[in-house]
Amino acid sequence: MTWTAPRTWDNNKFVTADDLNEQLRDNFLWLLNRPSAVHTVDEVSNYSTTSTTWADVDGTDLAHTIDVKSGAVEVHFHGAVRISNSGANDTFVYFDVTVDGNRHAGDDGIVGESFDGGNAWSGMRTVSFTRRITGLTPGSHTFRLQWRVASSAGTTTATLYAGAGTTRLDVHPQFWAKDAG
Amino acid sequence: MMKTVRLDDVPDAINIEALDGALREALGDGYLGLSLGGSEGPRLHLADGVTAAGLRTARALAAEHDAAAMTPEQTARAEREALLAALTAQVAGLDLAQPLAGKDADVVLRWLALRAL
Repeated sequence: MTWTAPRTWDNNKFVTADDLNEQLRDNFLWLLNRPSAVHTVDEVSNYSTTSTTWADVDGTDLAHTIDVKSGAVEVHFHGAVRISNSGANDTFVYFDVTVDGNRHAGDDGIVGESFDGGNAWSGMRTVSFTRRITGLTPGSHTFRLQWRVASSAGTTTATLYAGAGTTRLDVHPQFWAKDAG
Repeated sequence: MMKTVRLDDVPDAINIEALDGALREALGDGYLGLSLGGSEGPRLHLADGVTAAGLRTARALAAEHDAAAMTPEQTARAEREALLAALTAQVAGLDLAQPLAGKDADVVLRWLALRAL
Protein backbone atom coordinates (compact mmCIF):
# COMPACT_ATOMS: atom_id res chain seq x y z
CA MET A 1 0.00 0.00 0.00
CA THR A 2 1.40 3.40 -0.92
CA TRP A 3 0.99 6.78 0.66
CA THR A 4 -0.36 9.64 -1.46
CA ALA A 5 0.05 13.20 -0.29
CA PRO A 6 -3.44 14.46 0.76
CA ARG A 7 -5.09 16.85 -1.64
CA THR A 8 -6.37 20.28 -0.79
CA TRP A 9 -10.02 20.14 -1.71
CA ASP A 10 -11.79 22.97 -3.54
CA ASN A 11 -15.48 23.84 -3.62
CA ASN A 12 -17.50 22.10 -6.31
CA LYS A 13 -14.77 19.53 -6.86
CA PHE A 14 -16.28 16.33 -8.26
CA VAL A 15 -15.13 13.43 -6.09
CA THR A 16 -14.79 10.08 -7.78
CA ALA A 17 -14.49 6.60 -6.33
CA ASP A 18 -10.84 6.61 -7.37
CA ASP A 19 -10.31 9.80 -5.40
CA LEU A 20 -11.87 8.33 -2.27
CA ASN A 21 -9.98 5.05 -2.63
CA GLU A 22 -6.70 6.85 -3.07
CA GLN A 23 -7.16 9.62 -0.54
CA LEU A 24 -9.08 7.77 2.18
CA ARG A 25 -8.88 3.99 1.82
CA ASP A 26 -5.27 3.69 0.70
CA ASN A 27 -3.93 6.38 3.00
CA PHE A 28 -5.77 4.95 6.02
CA LEU A 29 -4.45 1.50 5.18
CA TRP A 30 -0.96 2.93 4.89
CA LEU A 31 -1.31 4.62 8.28
CA LEU A 32 -2.51 1.34 9.72
CA ASN A 33 0.51 -0.51 8.32
CA ARG A 34 3.28 2.04 8.29
CA PRO A 35 6.63 0.88 6.96
CA SER A 36 8.32 -1.04 9.74
CA ALA A 37 10.68 -3.89 10.40
CA VAL A 38 11.33 -5.96 13.49
CA HIS A 39 13.78 -8.65 14.49
CA THR A 40 13.44 -10.74 17.62
CA VAL A 41 16.75 -12.35 18.48
CA ASP A 42 16.88 -16.12 18.79
CA GLU A 43 20.43 -17.31 18.17
CA VAL A 44 22.39 -20.46 18.91
CA SER A 45 25.04 -18.42 20.74
CA ASN A 46 25.09 -15.09 22.54
CA TYR A 47 26.60 -11.97 21.02
CA SER A 48 29.83 -10.74 22.55
CA THR A 49 32.36 -8.07 21.76
CA THR A 50 35.61 -6.61 23.01
CA SER A 51 35.48 -3.79 20.48
CA THR A 52 36.51 -0.42 21.84
CA THR A 53 35.29 1.23 18.66
CA TRP A 54 31.72 1.23 17.39
CA ALA A 55 30.78 -2.03 15.67
CA ASP A 56 27.57 -3.57 14.37
CA VAL A 57 26.05 -5.99 16.85
CA ASP A 58 24.81 -7.99 13.86
CA GLY A 59 25.06 -6.20 10.54
CA THR A 60 22.51 -8.50 8.93
CA ASP A 61 19.86 -9.46 11.46
CA LEU A 62 19.95 -6.30 13.58
CA ALA A 63 19.67 -4.00 10.58
CA HIS A 64 16.45 -2.73 9.07
CA THR A 65 15.81 -0.97 5.80
CA ILE A 66 12.46 0.77 5.49
CA ASP A 67 10.91 3.16 3.00
CA VAL A 68 10.43 6.35 5.01
CA LYS A 69 7.69 8.73 3.90
CA SER A 70 7.23 11.05 6.83
CA GLY A 71 10.82 11.98 7.55
CA ALA A 72 10.59 10.63 11.09
CA VAL A 73 11.39 7.15 12.35
CA GLU A 74 11.29 5.48 15.74
CA VAL A 75 13.87 2.82 16.49
CA HIS A 76 13.74 0.64 19.56
CA PHE A 77 16.01 -1.90 21.19
CA HIS A 78 15.78 -3.91 24.36
CA GLY A 79 18.10 -6.62 25.59
CA ALA A 80 20.04 -7.98 28.53
CA VAL A 81 23.79 -7.46 28.78
CA ARG A 82 26.62 -8.47 31.05
CA ILE A 83 30.10 -7.00 30.94
CA SER A 84 33.36 -8.08 32.55
CA ASN A 85 36.96 -6.96 32.60
CA SER A 86 40.07 -9.13 32.77
CA GLY A 87 41.69 -6.80 35.30
CA ALA A 88 38.60 -6.11 37.43
CA ASN A 89 38.50 -2.49 36.25
CA ASP A 90 35.24 -0.56 36.08
CA THR A 91 33.71 -1.08 32.67
CA PHE A 92 31.20 0.51 30.34
CA VAL A 93 29.07 -0.57 27.40
CA TYR A 94 27.37 1.82 24.99
CA PHE A 95 24.72 1.45 22.29
CA ASP A 96 23.90 3.60 19.29
CA VAL A 97 22.15 3.31 15.92
CA THR A 98 23.54 4.12 12.51
CA VAL A 99 21.38 5.71 9.84
CA ASP A 100 22.70 4.81 6.39
CA GLY A 101 26.09 4.12 7.95
CA ASN A 102 26.34 7.29 10.04
CA ARG A 103 26.05 7.10 13.81
CA HIS A 104 22.94 8.88 14.97
CA ALA A 105 23.72 10.09 18.49
CA GLY A 106 27.49 10.46 18.27
CA ASP A 107 29.77 10.71 21.31
CA ASP A 108 28.94 7.86 23.71
CA GLY A 109 25.78 6.93 21.87
CA ILE A 110 22.14 6.69 22.88
CA VAL A 111 22.49 4.67 26.10
CA GLY A 112 25.28 3.33 28.28
CA GLU A 113 25.67 1.09 31.29
CA SER A 114 28.51 0.88 33.80
CA PHE A 115 29.59 -2.12 35.80
CA ASP A 116 31.64 -2.44 38.96
CA GLY A 117 34.76 -4.27 37.87
CA GLY A 118 35.63 -5.30 41.40
CA ASN A 119 32.84 -7.83 41.39
CA ALA A 120 33.41 -10.88 39.22
CA TRP A 121 29.65 -11.17 38.73
CA SER A 122 28.38 -7.62 38.46
CA GLY A 123 25.03 -8.86 37.31
CA MET A 124 22.92 -8.58 34.23
CA ARG A 125 21.50 -5.24 33.14
CA THR A 126 18.58 -4.42 30.92
CA VAL A 127 19.44 -2.06 28.11
CA SER A 128 16.49 -0.41 26.42
CA PHE A 129 15.86 2.68 24.37
CA THR A 130 13.32 4.14 21.99
CA ARG A 131 14.74 6.87 19.81
CA ARG A 132 12.91 9.27 17.51
CA ILE A 133 14.99 10.19 14.47
CA THR A 134 13.78 13.14 12.44
CA GLY A 135 14.86 15.08 9.40
CA LEU A 136 15.12 12.08 7.10
CA THR A 137 14.55 12.59 3.42
CA PRO A 138 11.71 10.50 1.97
CA GLY A 139 13.06 7.22 0.65
CA SER A 140 14.86 4.09 1.76
CA HIS A 141 16.96 4.26 4.94
CA THR A 142 18.91 1.59 6.81
CA PHE A 143 19.16 1.45 10.60
CA ARG A 144 21.77 -0.69 12.35
CA LEU A 145 22.36 -1.37 16.04
CA GLN A 146 25.95 -0.74 17.21
CA TRP A 147 27.82 -1.12 20.47
CA ARG A 148 31.25 -0.70 22.00
CA VAL A 149 32.95 -1.22 25.35
CA ALA A 150 35.33 0.93 27.39
CA SER A 151 37.50 0.65 30.48
CA SER A 152 40.73 2.07 31.80
CA ALA A 153 42.72 -1.13 31.14
CA GLY A 154 42.47 -4.82 30.36
CA THR A 155 40.13 -6.71 28.07
CA THR A 156 36.50 -5.75 28.47
CA THR A 157 33.93 -8.20 27.17
CA ALA A 158 30.26 -7.36 26.72
CA THR A 159 27.73 -10.13 26.23
CA LEU A 160 24.28 -9.59 24.79
CA TYR A 161 22.12 -12.56 25.69
CA ALA A 162 20.48 -13.83 22.52
CA GLY A 163 18.01 -16.53 23.45
CA ALA A 164 20.82 -19.02 23.16
CA GLY A 165 19.88 -21.22 26.09
CA THR A 166 22.05 -19.63 28.78
CA THR A 167 20.72 -20.77 32.15
CA ARG A 168 18.44 -18.10 33.69
CA LEU A 169 19.48 -15.67 30.92
CA ASP A 170 17.70 -17.22 27.97
CA VAL A 171 16.12 -13.91 26.98
CA HIS A 172 15.27 -12.59 23.53
CA PRO A 173 16.22 -9.02 22.61
CA GLN A 174 14.28 -7.13 19.97
CA PHE A 175 15.23 -4.36 17.54
CA TRP A 176 12.68 -2.55 15.42
CA ALA A 177 12.24 0.55 13.29
CA LYS A 178 9.06 2.15 11.99
CA ASP A 179 7.96 5.23 10.12
CA ALA A 180 6.68 7.51 12.85
CA GLY A 181 5.36 10.62 11.17
CA MET B 1 38.44 4.63 10.49
CA MET B 2 37.75 1.02 11.28
CA LYS B 3 37.33 -2.06 9.13
CA THR B 4 35.68 -5.32 10.10
CA VAL B 5 37.12 -8.60 8.86
CA ARG B 6 35.32 -11.92 9.17
CA LEU B 7 37.22 -14.89 10.53
CA ASP B 8 36.27 -18.05 8.68
CA ASP B 9 38.84 -20.48 10.08
CA VAL B 10 38.25 -20.51 13.83
CA PRO B 11 37.45 -23.25 16.35
CA ASP B 12 33.82 -23.68 17.39
CA ALA B 13 34.63 -22.67 20.99
CA ILE B 14 36.35 -19.35 21.59
CA ASN B 15 37.69 -17.94 24.83
CA ILE B 16 37.11 -14.34 23.81
CA GLU B 17 39.17 -12.83 26.63
CA ALA B 18 42.19 -15.00 25.79
CA LEU B 19 41.96 -14.52 22.04
CA ASP B 20 41.44 -10.79 22.48
CA GLY B 21 44.58 -10.59 24.62
CA ALA B 22 46.64 -12.52 22.06
CA LEU B 23 45.41 -10.37 19.17
CA ARG B 24 45.99 -7.15 21.10
CA GLU B 25 49.56 -8.21 21.89
CA ALA B 26 50.24 -9.16 18.28
CA LEU B 27 48.63 -6.20 16.51
CA GLY B 28 49.04 -3.41 19.04
CA ASP B 29 47.10 -0.23 18.42
CA GLY B 30 45.80 -1.54 15.11
CA TYR B 31 43.63 -4.04 16.93
CA LEU B 32 40.29 -2.60 18.08
CA GLY B 33 38.38 -5.67 19.19
CA LEU B 34 36.70 -8.95 18.41
CA SER B 35 33.00 -9.78 18.06
CA LEU B 36 31.24 -13.12 18.15
CA GLY B 37 27.75 -14.42 17.52
CA GLY B 38 24.84 -13.80 15.21
CA SER B 39 24.58 -14.09 11.48
CA GLU B 40 28.06 -12.79 10.75
CA GLY B 41 30.19 -15.11 12.88
CA PRO B 42 33.53 -14.20 14.44
CA ARG B 43 34.91 -10.90 13.20
CA LEU B 44 37.88 -8.67 13.87
CA HIS B 45 37.70 -4.91 14.20
CA LEU B 46 40.90 -3.34 12.93
CA ALA B 47 42.25 0.13 12.33
CA ASP B 48 42.82 0.96 8.68
CA GLY B 49 46.58 0.92 9.18
CA VAL B 50 46.82 -2.83 9.84
CA THR B 51 48.94 -4.47 7.14
CA ALA B 52 48.24 -7.66 5.20
CA ALA B 53 50.95 -9.35 7.28
CA GLY B 54 49.20 -8.23 10.45
CA LEU B 55 45.94 -9.64 9.20
CA ARG B 56 47.62 -12.96 8.38
CA THR B 57 49.03 -13.04 11.90
CA ALA B 58 45.55 -12.38 13.32
CA ARG B 59 43.99 -15.13 11.21
CA ALA B 60 46.71 -17.59 12.28
CA LEU B 61 46.21 -16.75 15.96
CA ALA B 62 42.46 -17.26 15.59
CA ALA B 63 42.87 -20.56 13.76
CA GLU B 64 45.27 -21.91 16.42
CA HIS B 65 43.20 -20.62 19.32
CA ASP B 66 42.61 -23.06 22.20
CA ALA B 67 39.54 -22.05 24.19
CA ALA B 68 40.59 -24.28 27.10
CA ALA B 69 43.80 -22.31 27.68
CA MET B 70 42.99 -19.71 30.31
CA THR B 71 44.73 -16.37 30.72
CA PRO B 72 46.56 -15.71 34.02
CA GLU B 73 43.67 -13.43 35.02
CA GLN B 74 41.12 -16.15 34.28
CA THR B 75 43.15 -18.67 36.29
CA ALA B 76 43.28 -16.24 39.22
CA ARG B 77 39.51 -15.65 39.01
CA ALA B 78 38.83 -19.39 38.87
CA GLU B 79 41.03 -19.96 41.93
CA ARG B 80 39.28 -17.14 43.78
CA GLU B 81 35.84 -18.54 42.91
CA ALA B 82 36.90 -22.02 44.03
CA LEU B 83 38.21 -20.63 47.32
CA LEU B 84 35.03 -18.63 47.84
CA ALA B 85 32.91 -21.75 47.18
CA ALA B 86 34.96 -23.75 49.68
CA LEU B 87 34.72 -21.03 52.35
CA THR B 88 30.98 -20.62 51.71
CA ALA B 89 30.49 -24.33 52.34
CA GLN B 90 32.47 -24.10 55.60
CA VAL B 91 30.54 -21.03 56.79
CA ALA B 92 27.24 -22.75 55.98
CA GLY B 93 28.28 -25.53 58.36
CA LEU B 94 28.92 -23.21 61.32
CA ASP B 95 26.49 -22.51 64.12
CA LEU B 96 26.33 -18.74 63.76
CA ALA B 97 24.07 -18.46 66.81
CA GLN B 98 27.16 -19.22 68.94
CA PRO B 99 30.25 -17.01 69.46
CA LEU B 100 33.02 -17.68 66.93
CA ALA B 101 36.60 -18.26 67.88
CA GLY B 102 39.82 -19.66 66.54
CA LYS B 103 39.66 -21.36 63.16
CA ASP B 104 35.92 -20.71 62.72
CA ALA B 105 36.41 -16.97 63.14
CA ASP B 106 39.27 -17.07 60.65
CA VAL B 107 37.08 -18.85 58.10
CA VAL B 108 34.29 -16.29 58.48
CA LEU B 109 36.72 -13.39 58.26
CA ARG B 110 38.32 -14.73 55.07
CA TRP B 111 34.86 -15.46 53.59
CA LEU B 112 33.69 -11.90 54.27
CA ALA B 113 36.91 -10.37 52.91
CA LEU B 114 36.71 -12.41 49.73
CA ARG B 115 33.09 -11.46 49.14
CA ALA B 116 33.87 -7.80 49.71
CA LEU B 117 36.67 -7.69 47.12
